[in-house]
Amino acid sequence: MLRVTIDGKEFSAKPDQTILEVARENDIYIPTMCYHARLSLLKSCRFCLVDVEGAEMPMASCATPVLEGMVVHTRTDRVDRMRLEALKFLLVNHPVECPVCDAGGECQLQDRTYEFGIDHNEYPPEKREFPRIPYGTPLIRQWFDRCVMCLRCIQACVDIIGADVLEVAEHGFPSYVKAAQKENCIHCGECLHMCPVGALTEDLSLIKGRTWQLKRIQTTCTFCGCGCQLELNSLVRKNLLVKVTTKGEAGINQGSLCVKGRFGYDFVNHPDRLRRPLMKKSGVFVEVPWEESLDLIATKLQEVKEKYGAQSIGGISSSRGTNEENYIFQKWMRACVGTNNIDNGARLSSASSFYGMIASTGWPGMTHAMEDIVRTDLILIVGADVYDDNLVFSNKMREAMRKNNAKIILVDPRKTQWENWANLWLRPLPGTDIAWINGLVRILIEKGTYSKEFIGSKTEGFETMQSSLGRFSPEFVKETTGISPADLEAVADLYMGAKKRAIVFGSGVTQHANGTETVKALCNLALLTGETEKGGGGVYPLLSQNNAQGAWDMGALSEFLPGYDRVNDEKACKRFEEAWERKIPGKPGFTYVEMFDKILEGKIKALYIFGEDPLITLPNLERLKNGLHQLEFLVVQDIFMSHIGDYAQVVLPGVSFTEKDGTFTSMERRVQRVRKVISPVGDSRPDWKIFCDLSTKMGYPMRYQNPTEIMEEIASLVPFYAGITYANLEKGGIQWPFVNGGKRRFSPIEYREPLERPDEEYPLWILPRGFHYNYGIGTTDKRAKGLAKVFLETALEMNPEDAQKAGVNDLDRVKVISPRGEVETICRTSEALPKGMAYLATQFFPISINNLLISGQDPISRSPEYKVCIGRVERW
Amino acid sequence: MIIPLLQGLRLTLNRFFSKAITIQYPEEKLPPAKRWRGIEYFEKDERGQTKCVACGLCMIVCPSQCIYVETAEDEEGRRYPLTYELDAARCIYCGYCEEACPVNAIYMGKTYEWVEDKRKPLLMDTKKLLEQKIFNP
Repeated sequence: MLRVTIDGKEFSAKPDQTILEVARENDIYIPTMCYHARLSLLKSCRFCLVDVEGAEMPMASCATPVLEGMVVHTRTDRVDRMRLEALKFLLVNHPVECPVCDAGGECQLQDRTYEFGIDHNEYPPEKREFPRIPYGTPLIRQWFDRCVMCLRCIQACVDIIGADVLEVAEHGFPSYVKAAQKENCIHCGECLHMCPVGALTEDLSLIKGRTWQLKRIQTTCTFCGCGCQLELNSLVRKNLLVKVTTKGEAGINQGSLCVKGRFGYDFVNHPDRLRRPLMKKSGVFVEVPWEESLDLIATKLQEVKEKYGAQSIGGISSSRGTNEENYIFQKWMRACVGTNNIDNGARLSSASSFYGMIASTGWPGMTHAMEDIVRTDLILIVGADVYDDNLVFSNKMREAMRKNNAKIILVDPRKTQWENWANLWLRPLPGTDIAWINGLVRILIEKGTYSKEFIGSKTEGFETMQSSLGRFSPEFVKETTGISPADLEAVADLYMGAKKRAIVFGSGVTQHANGTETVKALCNLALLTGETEKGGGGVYPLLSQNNAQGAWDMGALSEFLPGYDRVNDEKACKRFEEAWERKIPGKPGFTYVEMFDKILEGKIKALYIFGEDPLITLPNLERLKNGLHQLEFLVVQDIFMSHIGDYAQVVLPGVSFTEKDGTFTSMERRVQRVRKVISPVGDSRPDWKIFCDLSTKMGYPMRYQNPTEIMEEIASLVPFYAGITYANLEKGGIQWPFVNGGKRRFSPIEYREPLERPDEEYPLWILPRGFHYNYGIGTTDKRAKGLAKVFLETALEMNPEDAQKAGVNDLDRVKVISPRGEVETICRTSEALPKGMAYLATQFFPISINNLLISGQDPISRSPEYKVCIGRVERW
Repeated sequence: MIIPLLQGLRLTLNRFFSKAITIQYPEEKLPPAKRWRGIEYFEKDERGQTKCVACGLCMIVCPSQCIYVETAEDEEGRRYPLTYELDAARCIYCGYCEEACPVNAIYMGKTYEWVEDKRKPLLMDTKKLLEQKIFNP
């Protein structure tokens, strides 16, 4: 520790700190403009000058490291004058248009001008001409004359995101910030957030507002599992969301967002929002009052229950909905309706991850916090398009690269953005991951890269697993996956050379029929060197839905009660029965896909769907659509009319995340508050309230006054949510802890062939790919004006040679045919794709790739096989 | 005793025969002073619409918080007030809004004659403010 004197007071400092950092830690004010804690030093504004005794010239405090015994004066005449002149120079060419500038009221330049006491322009301005060039994204407008050339935007784009869109064009006086590589722009708005003045303004909302007019509430983003904190700004009188801002200190994202979080908010006020309950009368939807719709649902469900039994009723909950809603939903289904036929949307994307993690580590979720990846020095990314799906986590991984020189191994058949930064890139055939993982584990064990002490004391099953690896020689790996022994060896070498290794995986691993097994195989790899433990690198299953973790924690599942007790565990059942004062069924129910199979078999007669659209998410849709009429009663609760809604008898209008209170649990197990910003649109009601009213009508009264009470109940029943109250959550999110850890388990993993492989008739792999502007299934962001502006049209991406063989050219209309169905789309040829594989944008309506997919399932997790599909392409 | 009495009566007689200074309002009206602050009006620009760019400065400077502004942009990117409400009943006619306005859109007019028997008509919106211009050429 060093001793530094600033303005007469002595402070202690670490040797690598700068004067500015020490000053900020101790609440001493030094004005800055270009400095930002998250960016590399820019040193361009000269505002932070301080006088240091012994130095002839003033030093820039943001860039000067402290020395033992340094004496600093932050307010001397010389320094004050220099700061004033620096500001005056900036103001010379800055147009005085604060009243019409969006940044008015929040502008750093305004604040400094007021602070330094400047009231007029001393130096005559010179007219500058600027070219009219569009910015990197249509969602942000660039005002060249307002720019103070702090260069924060350029640095942010390079450092944090890695997109590298902006650069300084020209030299000297005519220089300006130019969006030179527009095609790299992912519209994340980092530059917008960093700009201290109004040179970059958001160009999405036609309605603006000043800081003193808008209500600004911090809440959790609804788009992906990162759980970023953002502030929604609303115009109270019009009940309208106007923009999204972020605070630098709040949450894991520290001010960053992705395009969905920053520009995707306007679906909330879309005119298509459901405003009133709808009931089908003579085949047409008619608006009805709430009482009537709820009465009908209660009556009909009772009827079906009496006629066919409670097991003929099913419920699908939303992994976008809050924890409280998921909890109430499953409580209602179990205690009131009396069935375990409950499931939620996350089953389809992440069930394998939950099952695999429970099997190997004993806990369903990320082993560490997202922040911990910054401390690793090797990141293995398997089957996850992190840049597109979880941008903020991608930013964290880039931080690891910057701070620790972390090495990156990317394993993905498709070329994703991370390929640019990866040291090694492997391209296995789809569905064959188990082979190369086992192969890698075998090599590492041979080379002695495993922690004997850890394995001996804290794990079990190592020997069994080790002996099962016999057939996974490098030749076998080459045969099944296509990865050469040299590549596998290179991966092993890199892996061995690191100290803290992180394993990141996503839907490329989980959305397979062998998903759970693959996750367990990855955990085997992690357990070899103890990466799952506190000092290790961590295993990071990425979740694409904001509350997938929460929906699973809350037991909105057919086989789990809240807190992951099994429904057939008598002791657990008893505990809940006592708390809920009702008997609950003890046999596991049907899962998401099974429920729909059972509908076609006539076993399920009534269904309640909350916030999901099975007609987009389920595979093999034609078969499904033809069988839905067998349902006697269907209720859909959503914010927009969905495809499945058309088949329903009653449609109830729920609310978006901006109109209700609650909590989301992010993929790092962090429970964070969702706060109400605007009033429910039209006559819609918060979803938890709808469930409570319905349950009360059906004879099981739920009289919660607010979600706070629901969370109190959850905290009392789910051991790892104990201690979570809304009062505690005010201070920030709480990551629920692992308590009572057992031993970790190694599992021997069998290799199974993928459900289908390309053959003569269907020579291509057709793989789904999600664009990152869509969030799940497009219900919300097709209606977000900003996201729609940057949407890429659905297209089939093919290797040019395959295209030639099929007789199609770039931009042709083509038909993609699989053994299950066909879709029409446009073809784009790209070298980024390997021969034999084609990628089709997934989860978009009106064309839905799910027509093509196979109905296989992972036998353990019951998650569908999304990522293995064969097909052929024809001209259309 | 008599002399002061007669002096006083002389003053009274003077006044009796000189011109009355009463201004017979409403038949006669005294024009207000040059900088007199009356009911506000909006200046028109060349399109005949308000010059107001909805910057919100008048809203925040108003001591009685009688102004409410909502900002919107039109297709060309020009700012205009989506909603501009000035409550003439709450207003204290201090003239701060006129001083604050950077584009000289709002002025204090010379009118003061406005009687209603409800509060609602006294709530001026953009249209009413533009109409007030007629009384303030």
